[in-house]
Amino acid sequence: MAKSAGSQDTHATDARRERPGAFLTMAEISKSYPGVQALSRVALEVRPGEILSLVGENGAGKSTMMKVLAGAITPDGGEIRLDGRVIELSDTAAAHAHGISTIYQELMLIPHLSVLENIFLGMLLRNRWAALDWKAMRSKAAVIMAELGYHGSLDVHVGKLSVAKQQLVEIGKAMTRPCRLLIMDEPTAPLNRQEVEHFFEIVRKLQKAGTAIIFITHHLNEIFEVCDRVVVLRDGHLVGESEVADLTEARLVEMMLGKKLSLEKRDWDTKASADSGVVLQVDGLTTSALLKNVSFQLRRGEVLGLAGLMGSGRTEILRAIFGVDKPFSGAIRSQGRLAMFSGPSKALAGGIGLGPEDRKADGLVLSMPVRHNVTLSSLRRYSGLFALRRRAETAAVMDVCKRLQVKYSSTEVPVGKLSGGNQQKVILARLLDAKVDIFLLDEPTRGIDIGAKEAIFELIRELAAKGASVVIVSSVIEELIYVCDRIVCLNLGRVTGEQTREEFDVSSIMINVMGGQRDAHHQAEARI
Amino acid sequence: MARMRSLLLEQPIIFVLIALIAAFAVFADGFADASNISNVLRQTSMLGIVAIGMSIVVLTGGIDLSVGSVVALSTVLVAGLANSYPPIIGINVALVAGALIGFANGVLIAGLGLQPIIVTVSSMAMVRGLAMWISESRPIFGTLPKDLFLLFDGRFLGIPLPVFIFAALALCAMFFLGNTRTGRAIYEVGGNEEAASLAGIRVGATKVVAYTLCGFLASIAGIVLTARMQSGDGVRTGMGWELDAIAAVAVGGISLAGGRGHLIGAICGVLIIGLLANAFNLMGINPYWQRIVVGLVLAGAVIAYNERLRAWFSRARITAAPTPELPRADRAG
Repeated sequence: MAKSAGSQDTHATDARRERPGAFLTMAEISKSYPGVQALSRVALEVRPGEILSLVGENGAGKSTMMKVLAGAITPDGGEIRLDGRVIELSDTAAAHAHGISTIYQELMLIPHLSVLENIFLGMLLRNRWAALDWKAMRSKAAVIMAELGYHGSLDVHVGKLSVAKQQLVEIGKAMTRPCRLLIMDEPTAPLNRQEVEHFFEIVRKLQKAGTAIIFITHHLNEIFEVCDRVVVLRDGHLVGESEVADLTEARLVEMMLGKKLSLEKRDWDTKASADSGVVLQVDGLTTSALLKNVSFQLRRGEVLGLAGLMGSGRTEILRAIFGVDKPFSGAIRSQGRLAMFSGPSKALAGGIGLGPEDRKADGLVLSMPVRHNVTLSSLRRYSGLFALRRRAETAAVMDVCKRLQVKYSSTEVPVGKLSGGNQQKVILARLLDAKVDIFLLDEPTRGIDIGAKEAIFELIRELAAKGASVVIVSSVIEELIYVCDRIVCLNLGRVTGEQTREEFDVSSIMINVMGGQRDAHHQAEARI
Repeated sequence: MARMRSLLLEQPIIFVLIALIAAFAVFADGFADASNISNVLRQTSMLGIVAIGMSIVVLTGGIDLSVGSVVALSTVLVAGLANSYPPIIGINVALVAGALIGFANGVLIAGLGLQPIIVTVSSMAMVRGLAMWISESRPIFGTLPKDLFLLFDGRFLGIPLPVFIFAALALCAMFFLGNTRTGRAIYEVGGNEEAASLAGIRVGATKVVAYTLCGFLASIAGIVLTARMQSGDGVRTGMGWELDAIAAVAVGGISLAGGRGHLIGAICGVLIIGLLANAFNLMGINPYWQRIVVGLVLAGAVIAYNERLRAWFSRARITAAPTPELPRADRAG
């Protein structure tokens, strides 16, 4: 790691000589949360008028870094200097006062207020009688928004605007105060291609005006299109920085992934082969919003990975199969029969179960005991003529929990009191108890520690060995490589690649997922 | 037995109720008389029946403000029809009407995704209007048959009939909530609607059942009330009962966000409200004070059930004596 950082540093030093000096420097910034070192002695420099991309995998520390600069969190150690003087970013107001504005991925706008009101939210202009000076605000906003290419009304409710326009309002909001550094977290994620183009124009305009921009993105082509410099974080460490001009896609992905392999490679005994029966066939799945002609097959006893970042359509695919969302077109077949389910209860009856992405919000009823959560989908089996057969239910719950090695003090403990790994096992237990044959698992290992992850993967393989078929969605490629028989790559709602276990290659999967190569072709076509 | 004990531990309100009874027995002359106790229970049973229905709805995460009006309509229907038909006809019409109103509430809330408070405020107004229209805003006396009054005055196995009905309904509802699939679904929908739906629970149907039961129970309360008043009244009866029922539910520790709490709590809540009124009467305390104290009890209960406060207390307890529940590393994950 030190080596790669060192070699990149020499590039950076060369470049530094030609460019104006940094106005903002961060040094030795550390931040830890219970059990996690989010940032460890990270340094960063920002020069006037540059577009800097902060990249790294999920959990690399990008958001923490950004929040430190936004004044949203206070680092445990390190210093931030602006124009050579040490500054204290104790809250967001302090950051604003120093000319640092941040636009989060979830836009901080109030939908029922007008564009004008949102722009001046929290910093309304007053005239000399201390009354609100709407006239001055309106004329100032008009100038700013015209500059940003927004030509609509200032009085329309923000909630009625497209996401792209809402983003312009956010940028306009940042521009009402002197802004030397604008930080944006995945600003292009919700935009379509034309909107991204327009967005880049604006970013370049701001750059010319001397504003420095820190830009977080997962899309390689965007980095190469607009950014001047890249800083790569991995596991809370700064692992490299480079001028974009000196960089290739492959080199960047290599920096992001590093050489770490936290999970040892294992050979699972696989039942699935090319001639095992297809249990699930997805053909040309398209939703009006995101998915475009997605097709893949799932075989009996197979563990299939869907590799994709947020916004790649991975969750939408699972929801469509599970009957939660209605696809616009395309067909889903299960065991050769058309299986377009009208809702989760039908899908469960058809032998398909979903473990949702957000365990706490969508997966479990946290206030209810383990027992209730395990039998949530299968309660029918435990209901007698009048009453639930509680004894049979408890016995079954204890049985399935033992099989999955769920650690709990009692079946009556609220499931919210269990650890993340055990909560995830409870969801698996529910699917198991519902006797499904096809498990759709959305980010089953998110937010759980490495030991628990391995346990979950072992369980998944065990299920597959017994003839179940599993689809796992994840943005952590190494994990998919560890557990899957086959991986399908997704980017922006399209399938961008497929590899079987023998062909697995982290870098090429990562490039497919981040819309490298192939996506560049698509974009070239789209532009012509 | 273990279940009984954990129930007691989770329902501190039971101890509050016992403490209140003990205090009133000492300080309020005549409170502990059998006749007074049976009288208080008889008077409270109607609000109690309404509160059972309210608990069911609140457990789904909803609220039903139309129950007071349903009580009024029910008295009007029973009394009005009793003049020309046998009372059983009026009783059945009232039950069907109550269930239908609840069903309509449920369909609007679950089917169209409308907010429960708005839907039931509008049905509260409409049903009240209907009751006033049918009764022409006058009490309906007429020639009510005597056996109807037995519903309030009668006894069964020595227990006043209204108390018996209340207790029977409460036991049925507890069984329903704890031991049937729909009852379980009510908790799960209130606890996490999205998760319940993704686990295959039919959220809409569950809500419709809850509101229908609530309307049905309110109409039962209205029938008993008719027997007590020996008349029907569309104007004054059931006024504010929805709020009293909600107060009882909240005092009883059922979370208005849904999914948490036990019917026992709401029943204790109703009894506390009823006993307070009775004891204050016996002690000759100004009735305005009663309202103030009921308000204070509600505020006190809500503060006592506050999650942050409870978390703070349990943290204090844990630091005092760490509970060896799960391995530390596992919990962190």
